[in-house]
Amino acid sequence: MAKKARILIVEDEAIVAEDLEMAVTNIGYEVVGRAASADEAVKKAVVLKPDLLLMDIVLIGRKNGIDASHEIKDKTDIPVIFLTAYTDIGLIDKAKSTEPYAYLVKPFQERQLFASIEMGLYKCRAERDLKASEKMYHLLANNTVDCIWLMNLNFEFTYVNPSILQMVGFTPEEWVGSSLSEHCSPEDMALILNLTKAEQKKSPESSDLTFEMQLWHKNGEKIDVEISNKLVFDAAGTLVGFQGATRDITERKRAEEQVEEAYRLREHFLKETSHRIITPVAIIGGYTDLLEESADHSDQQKEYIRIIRERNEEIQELVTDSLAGKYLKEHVE
Amino acid sequence: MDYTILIVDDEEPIHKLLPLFLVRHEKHTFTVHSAENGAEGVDRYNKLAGNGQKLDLVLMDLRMPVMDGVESTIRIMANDPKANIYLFTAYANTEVEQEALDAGAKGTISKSSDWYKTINTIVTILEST
Repeated sequence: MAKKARILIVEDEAIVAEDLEMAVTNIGYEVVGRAASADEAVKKAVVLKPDLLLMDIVLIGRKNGIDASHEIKDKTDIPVIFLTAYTDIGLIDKAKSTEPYAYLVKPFQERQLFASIEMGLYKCRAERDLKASEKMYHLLANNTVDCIWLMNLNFEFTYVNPSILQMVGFTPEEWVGSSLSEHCSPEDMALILNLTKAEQKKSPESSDLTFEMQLWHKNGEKIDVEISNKLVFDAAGTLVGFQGATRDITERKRAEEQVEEAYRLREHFLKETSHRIITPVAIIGGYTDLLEESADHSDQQKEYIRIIRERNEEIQELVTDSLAGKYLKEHVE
Repeated sequence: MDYTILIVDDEEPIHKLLPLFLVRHEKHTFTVHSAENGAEGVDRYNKLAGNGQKLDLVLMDLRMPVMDGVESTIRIMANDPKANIYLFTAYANTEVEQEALDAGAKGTISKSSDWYKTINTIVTILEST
């Protein structure tokens, strides 16, 4: 069985408090303490960290339950259920400002109390989960280098994370409300219109579009970006806009260009080198043959000539096949 | 057969070696004219052709001072669209080679240490032209 929810009872009338504690215990919760005044309630809420407060609006002392609830709300996120014998509208309106989870008007039955506490605990858990998840997404969105955004069907931005400032020099406030067409060339805009039009024919699940384009920085420079884009649908399945992430790939592009340039230079160097080596090789080869045929050589002289020829052919082979040919094939193409 | 060849190349030893090996060929005889750069090659070709002399083959280097092989090929082809120009170069598959082929050169003969092989290639081309 799950751990019993821990309840703090705030009630200045001892008999009522006693009854309430019994009722709460009866329906299966643990009462961790009681408070009779607003100050005591705040103190105990902070120290005992109950899961829920049952708070009478009228308390002894200068402050009432609504005041206590305000203070508790500032310090903790413990849900509060108001209990009151008054059906006074003005009081309930005042209590509303503290965003209580429920009001119970005395007298009430145990099952009403049970339902209110359960609902309060459930709503509190759901809110905490939501807050945690919101916090996580907020953290992610604010700390990612990539720019995350939402756009409506008119290509106007409705949300952008702070990364936009680093990327294009606009603050999120300046960016939201602006249209994508203000930030790129008409050609890129036309491309995006076509791409998204094609994308809209796909099902929501398979919608995933990645493309490269250029954005204009506030200072006028062009920035190469990669955009990952998904369609956003409402609950009824109607397309309402786009969401996506934009990554600055200027550095990557520059690096790619440098690599390409390096390859080009190397290829040029290899071809140039080959060219310059092969001509002398052809000349040496020619004169070696002529030398051999020019006279009757001794066996030793013939051996010398053979070595010159073989080594010369080796250079030729190295340059045409190994160096330029094979090397370029394996490493450049 | 007696063939006439014009070699356009800035390397003097290449000019000298070509006829020395051609003369060894058993079947054919050759007349070899030479030019040291592209401009001289164009000049030489036009003069010979102008005199009604038949030029069977032009061996054209690509890298030369004054005027390179591409420009010379363009100019010779402009004057004589039937010119039989082959690139005589150290290393094939370059952009410059492609430019010369586009300009009208018929093909490429690679420079090699084996001149007998080079001569055989030249003779094959001449016999099939």
